[in-house]
Amino acid sequence: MLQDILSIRLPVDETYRIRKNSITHGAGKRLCVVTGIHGDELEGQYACFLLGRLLREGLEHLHGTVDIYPAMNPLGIDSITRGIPGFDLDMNRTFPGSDSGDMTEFVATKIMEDMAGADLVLDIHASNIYLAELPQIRINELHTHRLVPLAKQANVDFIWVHGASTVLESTFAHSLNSRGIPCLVVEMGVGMRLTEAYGRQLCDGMVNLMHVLGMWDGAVPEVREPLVSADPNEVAFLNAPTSGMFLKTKPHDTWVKKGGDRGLYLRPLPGRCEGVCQRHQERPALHHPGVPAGGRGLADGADSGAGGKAMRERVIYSIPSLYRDDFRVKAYLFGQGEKALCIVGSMRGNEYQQLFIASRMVQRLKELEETGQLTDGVEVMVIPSVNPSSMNVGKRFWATDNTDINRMFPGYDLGETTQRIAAGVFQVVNQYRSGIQLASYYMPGNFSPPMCG
Amino acid sequence: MMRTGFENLEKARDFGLPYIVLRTPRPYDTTTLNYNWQIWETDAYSLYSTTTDRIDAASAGLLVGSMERFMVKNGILRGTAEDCPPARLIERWTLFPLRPEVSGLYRSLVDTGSHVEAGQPCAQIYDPCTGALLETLHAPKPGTVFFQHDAPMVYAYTAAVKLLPDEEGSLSAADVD
Repeated sequence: MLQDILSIRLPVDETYRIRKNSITHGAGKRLCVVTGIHGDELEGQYACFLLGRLLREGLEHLHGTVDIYPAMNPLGIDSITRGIPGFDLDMNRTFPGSDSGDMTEFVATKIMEDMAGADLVLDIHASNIYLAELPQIRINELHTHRLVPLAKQANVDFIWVHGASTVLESTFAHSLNSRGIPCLVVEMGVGMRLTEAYGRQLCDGMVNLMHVLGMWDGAVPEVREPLVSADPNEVAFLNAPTSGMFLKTKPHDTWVKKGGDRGLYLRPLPGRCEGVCQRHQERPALHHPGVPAGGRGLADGADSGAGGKAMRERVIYSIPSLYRDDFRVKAYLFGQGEKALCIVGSMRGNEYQQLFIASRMVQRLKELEETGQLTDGVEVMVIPSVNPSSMNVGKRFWATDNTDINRMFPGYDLGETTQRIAAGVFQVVNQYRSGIQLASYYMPGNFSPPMCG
Repeated sequence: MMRTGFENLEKARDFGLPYIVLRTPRPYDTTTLNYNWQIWETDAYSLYSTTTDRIDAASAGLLVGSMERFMVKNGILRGTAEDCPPARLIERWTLFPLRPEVSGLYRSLVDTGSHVEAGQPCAQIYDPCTGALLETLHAPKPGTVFFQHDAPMVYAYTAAVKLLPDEEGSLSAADVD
């Protein structure tokens, strides 16, 4: 039976609904299958279709309730947008929500209300548009004992027990697990694709889970024994050594020996292979992970400027690009000595006012330094923009994967592009005694007057 | 400013801005620059201007002046700073939101920064197809329009206006119709 768990009128002649297919037969436990929190992750759609069809055709074997939620972010799925369109938010950072909050928080709290009483929840994701992954379940180490035995029944290839992270406390899965509702996070396949084999594999896993829960007395497929990893050193990241087009030479989910190749990095202009990769990247164009701060950072970077009482310009982080000028985070320095103050302007591509304020500050500091107003033995740094690349293409967030640099700190040297940018910038700005960020509010609106917050 | 245990409210007053807003960080705040600056023991401050995606030169000038004042008060620049009225410390939760129950075309009736009286209409929401007035948002008590929605459309349940109640009074949920 199709039900609306939430219904809100949108501004122009449309109703926003979150719907579920609630299938009940007899008495028993309740399984919830959720997908579509990220609008660009579609793998769960096929798994939901297969499960719904199997239950419709074999309803007599079900003892309990299965609720299937194929589109937790319907606006996102229908526009193939990762976040919630119109709000620029990652839905999986809004839980558990609030019924006195904004629309996105209100939606999150209604979803949580509908999950109440579930005996098991599966939250199906699909990595992102760049990375193809084996069907796997990721478990926060805080919930190892309760979730790993269940995860082993889900017919996935890999179970990854990872460390706790504060930012994950705002995810759907964490919110449920914290309330005693077991939730398994499935990652499989790649964004914006349907991998038929993975959909079938996970559907078999869901049937087996229903059997384990005592909800299913029909045919139960055999499930595979997954690899289980709880050691952070067991999973290695192999990042691109250069920017270019990625051509995979082997499919993922195959075994490789040390030194074995998986793909090539190509530069169509001038027509050259730049390197070999041993990790599976799905999307062709990618960015170099970035010059580490130590390579072209504050420690040994060259300043341009006359020296003495003159503003200096320094690139504190850079990434080679494929066809654009290299991505650069540029800083302006005044004075020399103790790192007293760092001012960071715009972090996002639409923060024009913040960029303007920073540029005015650069001009003012230049005047003050030239007239001897800067105290001896102190240094001030101004970074007008951490993300000029997005500003030049009219995007608020990082253009290729829509991630927000100001949600990546302190950063990670071995992570994705914006994590590396955050790490490179933070290594520099963290050396200052005081820091000022020219901030913006995430919703369209005006504050009056300016404030410190 | 986020309450991390490392916030420095006294130094925040050195900017000379009229308001300092305090709030409890949420999980997604723990990956912001400001939060990480604080826990790695940099005295960190976020300064908010009036706008984001358009230039407001007057507001920009105020913030440049406030940063210059901060630098003077903290020995980075020579000189003396004029005295300013002490900043009003606001807990984030005291900013009372006016939320429409419907979505539609948004029409503001008040200016950001203006003072409103109890019962004063602050905004209206219209059906974009028929032009019908769907809802009017009224101020529940006297206060200052501290924040206002600035887009043609508004979604239901979104904080369209945030009021800062007058100091001599305070708002509670019971004050709202």
